[in-house]
Amino acid sequence: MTAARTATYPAVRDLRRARRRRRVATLDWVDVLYRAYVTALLVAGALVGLVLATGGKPVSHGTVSDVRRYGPAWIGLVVAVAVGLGLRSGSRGGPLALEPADVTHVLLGPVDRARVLRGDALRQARGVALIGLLVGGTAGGLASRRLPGSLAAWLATGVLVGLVLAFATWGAALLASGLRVRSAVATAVGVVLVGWSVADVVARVTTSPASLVGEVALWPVHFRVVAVIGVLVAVALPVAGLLLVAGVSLEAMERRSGLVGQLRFAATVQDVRTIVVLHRQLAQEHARSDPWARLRARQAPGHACWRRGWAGIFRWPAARVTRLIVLVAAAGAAAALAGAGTVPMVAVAGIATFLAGLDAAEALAQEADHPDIVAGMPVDRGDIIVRHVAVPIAVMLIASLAGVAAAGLVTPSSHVVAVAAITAVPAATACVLGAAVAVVLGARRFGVLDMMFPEFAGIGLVLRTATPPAIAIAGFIPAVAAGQAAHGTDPAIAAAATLPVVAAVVLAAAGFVVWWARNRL
Amino acid sequence: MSEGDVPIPALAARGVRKEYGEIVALQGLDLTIDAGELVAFVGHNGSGKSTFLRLATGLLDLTDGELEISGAPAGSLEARGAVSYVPDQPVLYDDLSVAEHLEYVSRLHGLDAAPEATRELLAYLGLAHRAGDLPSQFSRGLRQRTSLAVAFVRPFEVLLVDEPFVGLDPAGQDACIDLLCETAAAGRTVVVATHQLSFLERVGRVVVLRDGALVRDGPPERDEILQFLG
Repeated sequence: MTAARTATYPAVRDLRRARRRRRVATLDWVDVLYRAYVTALLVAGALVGLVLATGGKPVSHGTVSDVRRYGPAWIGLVVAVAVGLGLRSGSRGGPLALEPADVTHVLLGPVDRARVLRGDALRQARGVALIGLLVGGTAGGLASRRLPGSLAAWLATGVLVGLVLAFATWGAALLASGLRVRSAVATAVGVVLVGWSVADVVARVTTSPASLVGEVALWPVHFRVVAVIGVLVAVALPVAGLLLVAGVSLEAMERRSGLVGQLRFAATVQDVRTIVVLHRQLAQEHARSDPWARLRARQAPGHACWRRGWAGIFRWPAARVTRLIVLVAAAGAAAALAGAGTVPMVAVAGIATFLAGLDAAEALAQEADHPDIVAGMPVDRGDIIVRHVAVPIAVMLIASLAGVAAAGLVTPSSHVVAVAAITAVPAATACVLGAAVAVVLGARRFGVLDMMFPEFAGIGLVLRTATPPAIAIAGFIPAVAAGQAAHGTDPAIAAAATLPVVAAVVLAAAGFVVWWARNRL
Repeated sequence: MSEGDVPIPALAARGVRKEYGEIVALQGLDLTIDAGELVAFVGHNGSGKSTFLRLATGLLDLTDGELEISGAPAGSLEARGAVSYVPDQPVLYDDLSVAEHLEYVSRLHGLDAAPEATRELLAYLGLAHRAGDLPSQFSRGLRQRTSLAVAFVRPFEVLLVDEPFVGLDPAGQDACIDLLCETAAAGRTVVVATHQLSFLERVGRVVVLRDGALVRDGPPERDEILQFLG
């Protein structure tokens, strides 16, 4: 083979340019324009929703004072959680996701990995910047409607903080990945950061770098130059990450490269179940070989689904248990705020429990993943699905203790705790039913949707995507009802008034899902 | 390659250990393979064959021990330049033709495209008439041939091949075996993980792995190997 040595990096650069040109040449521009149109519509709808939810009247002086006092620490807590999640992602090989062929042919070749990976990282950074810009700018624009300060000042601050938050999260992942930080270490550092921010929230002080970023976010109402330190610390993360990017583990990158491609595809077809499974694989979340507890052997037959459900739950890894508790606690806190008057928070509560429900309904999902197993049995598939709903509801009811506690912490009142405890029943039921609908719809690839006229397919897709979380959100109607009833009446009576609403929500949701499962599957 | 009078082995493993969580895939493997050897790795599924090859390429991180390719740590720039790897599942770009794959990988390894050599290689592997086609539209066997072509188009001292015969028809298997033997005869080291016992007749050395441990290392004596494989 005759060959002459040349520099190798230009090969990577030239190929990528050529592939980009080829992709652009084969693009269906009508399809691209249609997607841009749909995205613009959705973004505009979300913005209008946010504007309506935040209201338009300027807040009182007292509220401004509260925002100035408590705001930095609360915003800092968000920053700390985001950086902690970034660190966790980095410990598993994130944020870069190369093609499997790039890992095999490029990174295993005698090329300068730092140069190749830095190029990929910088390309990814453009997307990160766009997200930071959009989220920060939107938040700034919304804040300007209710807080003192000019629109320009809020927009500039929002964009700055959005960029800092996005790059701190991304940079933390890149740094952890480059340094090959172990998962346990990443979690420990994340816990310290979040704990520091929680301490700032409780003590109402600004000591952590994350809280200093929070100070920057409130510059239009209170300028402190010392907050720049927070920005500098946050900026140092991506810079260090880019410098150390070559240290990434190929083992983690190879695993991630295959999974991320599948994850993106699953996201484009709204396949919730696949997204959940792939996310667990990315997080290397495996069932415990040594279960937390074992079921006692039974001689008599029966209760197969009930026993199978618990057998799976007892093998949950600690990370899944923790995630479930955190999600339910977040839902409890959001529901308390919804009951106190910030009604849109009910959506946050519902989505949090919906995600938790997807974890809890694992046995049901496994059944949907393996339809051939049930097909070979003398039982009705819909009946099996319905029977699998009992265990996750029980699990969510147990987990709801965390939600009730969180609601009590956010709004310390015995009546709020009473309402939260009552709401736990419909919320637990509805989130599991929503998760069940999402899982089963995802598994039914060739269903009613495929028989529709193409003109209605888009609406069908939206309904298919929106219905499951909507069912979960409906579970929190009693909390909102209690909050509304509490205006001008005895809180105890308001709490009691939720009981019929609870019964109605539970019966309606359960009735619908049982009918749907038995007749449509 | 040599260091003083002592030749540097093509592949040297000392106490190589690999764990996946609680699972031990390789438990303290010691092994030396010299330049020009043709070695077959055999063993049941999960015995650690693929793990060893992937460790040697640098795709996996060692849990413990040392692994060197031509004297350089596995995964280092020098080792990457010396090792060519054929994975058990072909890993190819969806939007590149066979010829474009070969051109790209050649250039990655600092070679100018050499059409004549590329044509010869493609003809040898029965891909000459498919050079302009996308491997993403190929059958498993044709993808496997493309994967072999990609591995052979670049310079290397050590060739690591994982299950090369899966999906190949008898003619393809023969061509593949001849190619591997010719490569070793030309003084380059070839390590093949396989379940195909008929291939063992052509190799000089067979390493048997069981549950991540080396249980036999020697000439290809079929009956003895079968005993170890159970």
